[in-house]
Amino acid sequence: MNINTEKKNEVIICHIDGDININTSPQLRKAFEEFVEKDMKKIIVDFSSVSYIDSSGLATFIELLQRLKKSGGSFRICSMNQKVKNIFEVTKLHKIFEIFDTQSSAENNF
Amino acid sequence: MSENVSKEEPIISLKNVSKYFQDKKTIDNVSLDIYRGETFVIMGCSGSGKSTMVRLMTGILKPDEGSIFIKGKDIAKISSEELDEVRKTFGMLFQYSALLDSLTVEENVALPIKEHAKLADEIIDIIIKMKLSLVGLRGYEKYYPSQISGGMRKRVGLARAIALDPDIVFYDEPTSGLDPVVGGAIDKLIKELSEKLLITSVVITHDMQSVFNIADRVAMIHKGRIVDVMPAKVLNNSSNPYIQQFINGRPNGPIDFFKEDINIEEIFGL
Ligand SMILES: Nc1ncnc2c1ncn2[C@@H]1O[C@H](COP(=O)(O)OP(=O)(O)O)[C@@H](O)[C@H]1O
Ligand SMILES: [Mg+2]
Repeated sequence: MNINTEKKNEVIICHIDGDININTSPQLRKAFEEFVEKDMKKIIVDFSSVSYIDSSGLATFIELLQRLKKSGGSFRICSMNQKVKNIFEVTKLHKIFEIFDTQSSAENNF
Repeated sequence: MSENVSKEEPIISLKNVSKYFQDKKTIDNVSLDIYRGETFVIMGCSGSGKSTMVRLMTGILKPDEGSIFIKGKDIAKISSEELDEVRKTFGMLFQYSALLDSLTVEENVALPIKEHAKLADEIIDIIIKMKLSLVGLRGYEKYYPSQISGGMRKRVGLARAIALDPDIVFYDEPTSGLDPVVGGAIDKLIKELSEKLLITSVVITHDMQSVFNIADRVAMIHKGRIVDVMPAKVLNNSSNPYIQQFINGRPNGPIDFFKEDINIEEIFGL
């Protein structure tokens, strides 16, 4: 898994490439920790190159949500494929995340 | 699920598997294919070899003859490290794999996660909450097994079995010791989890109600042999005398409960 970040105005766009699983999710957590430490308040996570996310990955996103809630930040997820979308849906997590079809729609009014 | 699966590559494939205990052939030349996403039930009487079958498929026992392929790998031939890797993708809910009484519900569910992965405690806590809510046990994290009912303990076992997002879950007699209502609830949960999480489920049981509740396909095992395999929905119409006797619970038929060939002298050491 690779993480590439770019900054657009005050929004951090985080492109993830590869599976988010028990071996790679700690790396993602580290990246998220940095965002929170640097007091980034607006984060978009681009899922277009993610084909699988396991429970440790989902937990990593839940933790990010918890932390951003405390710091007054928020984040959006975009460009999930159907398989990944299903994983969020069966765990009902699609209800707590802001999910957008495309990156540009996620950037809108953020 | 049960139809049109034959063209796919099976996720589990047994080829001419036999297992002996001492000289007794406990599993006798079994060949079986199980496909991704199906709930496959192996039913049979006590002592027919069901638990031995799961132990073989999970690599706990090695076959004396034949091969067992899991996702294309012959698990009897791979190294123990490779076998560990394959087994990480299994969940197991075994007949006697009770919860540890000295640990809380959340600590029990955490066991496989801590064993297999280096994750932060905060992440593990979130995973446990996710799993417990999937089995309908949100809020029971701090309870001890002795403080909850038998059905709830099974649910905790189920949460533990799916802790690491397995793609195959093996169940050995998941409803044994439960009353029919609680057993039915466990069946419903197994079915739901299989469907939602796209898990392949292999269920060993002698509980006929459970077979009708959950099975896509059913194999009947008798004296270590697979006597038939069929979609669950045609079970009732099967003319196979073993199936008929088993599903109707008849004492008379090809399944003999009392061995007729016993040697009375031998019993008394004469
Ligand atoms: N480890 C073992 N050593 C010797 N005999 C065994 C062992 N495990 C099972 N058996 C015998 O193999 C037969 C099948 O057992 P098992 O697979 O547990 O049946 P089931 O689960 O269908 O009740 C039984 O006769 C049992 O006594
Ligand atoms: Mg058994």
